[in-house]
Amino acid sequence: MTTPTIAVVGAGPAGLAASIAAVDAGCAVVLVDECSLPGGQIYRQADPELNVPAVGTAQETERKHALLRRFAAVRDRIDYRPNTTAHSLFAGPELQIADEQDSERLNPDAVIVATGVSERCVPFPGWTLPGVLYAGGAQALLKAHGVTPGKRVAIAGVGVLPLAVGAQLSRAGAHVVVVALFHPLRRMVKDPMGLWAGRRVVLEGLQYTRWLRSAGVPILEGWAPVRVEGASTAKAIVLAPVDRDGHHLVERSRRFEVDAIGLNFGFTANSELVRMAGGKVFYDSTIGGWLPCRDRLGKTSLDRIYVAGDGAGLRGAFVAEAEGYMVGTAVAGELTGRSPTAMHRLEKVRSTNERFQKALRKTLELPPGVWDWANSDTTVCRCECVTRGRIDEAKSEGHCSLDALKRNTRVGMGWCGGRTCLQAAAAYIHGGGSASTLQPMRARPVARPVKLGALANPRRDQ
Amino acid sequence: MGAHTENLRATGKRLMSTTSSFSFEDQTIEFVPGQSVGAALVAASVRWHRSAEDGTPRGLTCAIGVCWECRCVIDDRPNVRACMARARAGMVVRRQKGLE
Repeated sequence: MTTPTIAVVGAGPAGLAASIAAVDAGCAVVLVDECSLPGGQIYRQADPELNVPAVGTAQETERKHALLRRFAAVRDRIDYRPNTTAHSLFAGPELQIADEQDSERLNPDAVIVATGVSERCVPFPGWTLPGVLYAGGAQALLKAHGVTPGKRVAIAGVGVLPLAVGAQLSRAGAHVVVVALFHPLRRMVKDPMGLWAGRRVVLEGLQYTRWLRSAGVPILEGWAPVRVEGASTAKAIVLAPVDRDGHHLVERSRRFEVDAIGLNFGFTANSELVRMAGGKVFYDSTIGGWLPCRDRLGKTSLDRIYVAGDGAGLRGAFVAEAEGYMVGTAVAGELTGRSPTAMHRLEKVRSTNERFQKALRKTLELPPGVWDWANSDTTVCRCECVTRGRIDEAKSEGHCSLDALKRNTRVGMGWCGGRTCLQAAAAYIHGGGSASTLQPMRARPVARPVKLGALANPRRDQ
Repeated sequence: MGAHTENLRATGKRLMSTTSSFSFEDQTIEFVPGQSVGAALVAASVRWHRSAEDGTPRGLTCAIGVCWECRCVIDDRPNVRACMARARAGMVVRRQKGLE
C-alpha cells in the first residue's frame, strides 16, 4: 500500500499541529508556507541571526517554543516548503504552488487549509498615510525584526489586540501616547463563564494592562479614530468617543501627535482557496467574514478538502493548535483506515477555549455606524485607489453585488486580492448592516500574486 | 522586564555598530543582518515607500506580505515587498511610482 499524502497550507499553529499529527499517524505531509520560518503570525519567529528578545508574556513565549520544538522533532519527515505561495486550489483536490523561481501542481490525497486570517480595518480619512500600520503588523515588526513602527505611537481598534500591541511596543521602548479601545473591556464581564474558561488568557491580558499602566499610557475605552493628519506621512491622529451605533461624538475629540499608528478592527479569514475550489461558505462579520462551512473535524463541503484554525473562524491560537491536531489526526485516520486516538482531550481544550472566544466576541462587534467614518473622498480599495464616493455612485447605478462592484470600479481587483477592503465594500453596498446575504467576490485562480516566470517554469509533476 | 530592556539595548547596539547598509533614494539605511528591507526603513524613520497610481503616498502597512503597500523597486526589480525582502548590503532600493 502506498503512503497517503496530505498537503497542508500554512505553518501557523493549526498547520503545524495538523502536519505533526498527520506525519505521526503515518501519512506523508507536504507543508506549504509563505514565510521563511514556521510559526505563522502569532508565533512569528525572528531570523536566528537577529537575536530579537521575546515580545509576549512568558506563557505565550513558552507555548510558541513548545509547538516549534514539536515541529522540529518531525521536521525531517515533512516535505516542508517555506517561501512558497499556495495560489490555487481545485476540486480533486489539486493544489498549485509557486515560489520565486518555479511552480508545481500537487495532487495529494487530501488538503488541509490552515491559512488563518488577515487584519481588517474600517476606512476613515487619512488611514492610507504612510506610518499608519495594522496593529498586528506593528507587532510583527517587533517580533521578527526588533523594530518599533515609530517613536510616538498611537494604537486603536477592537478586541484585545490593541492592548497587547500597545503594551509590547511600550515595553520595547516606544512612547505609546494612547491606546484607544472601541469597546470598553467590561463588555466581556457580561459573560463570566466565558471569562473563567479563558482565565489563562485573561491573566495575560491583565499583565499587558499592568505594563501599560506602569508606563503611564492612557487607555481610552469607547473611543475610535476620526482622521489621521499629515502630508506624506502620519503626523497626528484625532480620536473621539463613539456612541452605541459607532458614530463619533466629535465635539469631545482629542488630537495626539504621533509618527506611527497601529490599527486593528478585526480580521478577514483567508478563505479564498476553499471558495475557489467551490466550497460552501457562510458570513460572520465578527470572526472573519466569509468562512468555509465545515464540520467539527474540519471537513468542508468538498471531497477531501479540510480547514483548521482561524481560517475557519477566528478563535485564537489555543483553539487553532488543538484543532490542527484534531483535523490532522482525523484526516490521516480516514486515509489510513486506522482509528484516531486522543481526540477527547483535544476536544476539551478546543471547546473550553471556544467558550472564552465567545466572550471575547463581544469586544469585536462593529455596529453599522462605523461604516460612516469614511467620507466620499476616502480611499477604500487601496490597491486600485477606489474611493467611498465611487462605490456609492456604482451602488446608486444598480451595481449591488460585490462582483458587479468589482467589474465597475475595480474594487478588490488589485495586488492584495481584495483581502484588505472586501468586508468594507460589502458593508457599503449593504448599507452598513449585516452582509450575511451577500455573496463574496468570486475567488479566481491565482489568489495571490505569483511571478509569471515561476508559472512558466513548472517542476516535473510527481 | 530588566532582562528584556537589556536585550533590546543589545540589539540596538548591534544596530549602531553594524556596517551593513543599503541605499533608499539618496539615503544610506543601516540594518542588522536578518532584518527585512521594510523593517530597516521603518527603523530609520523612512515610512513613505511607494506612490500609488493616484499619486498618494503609501508605506508598509500589514508588515506580513498581505497588502503589498510597501512594494519598492529593489535592484531594478519593481513590485518587491519591502516587508518580505531580506535586507542585503549594497542593495539599491527606491520608491516605486505607480505601475512600474
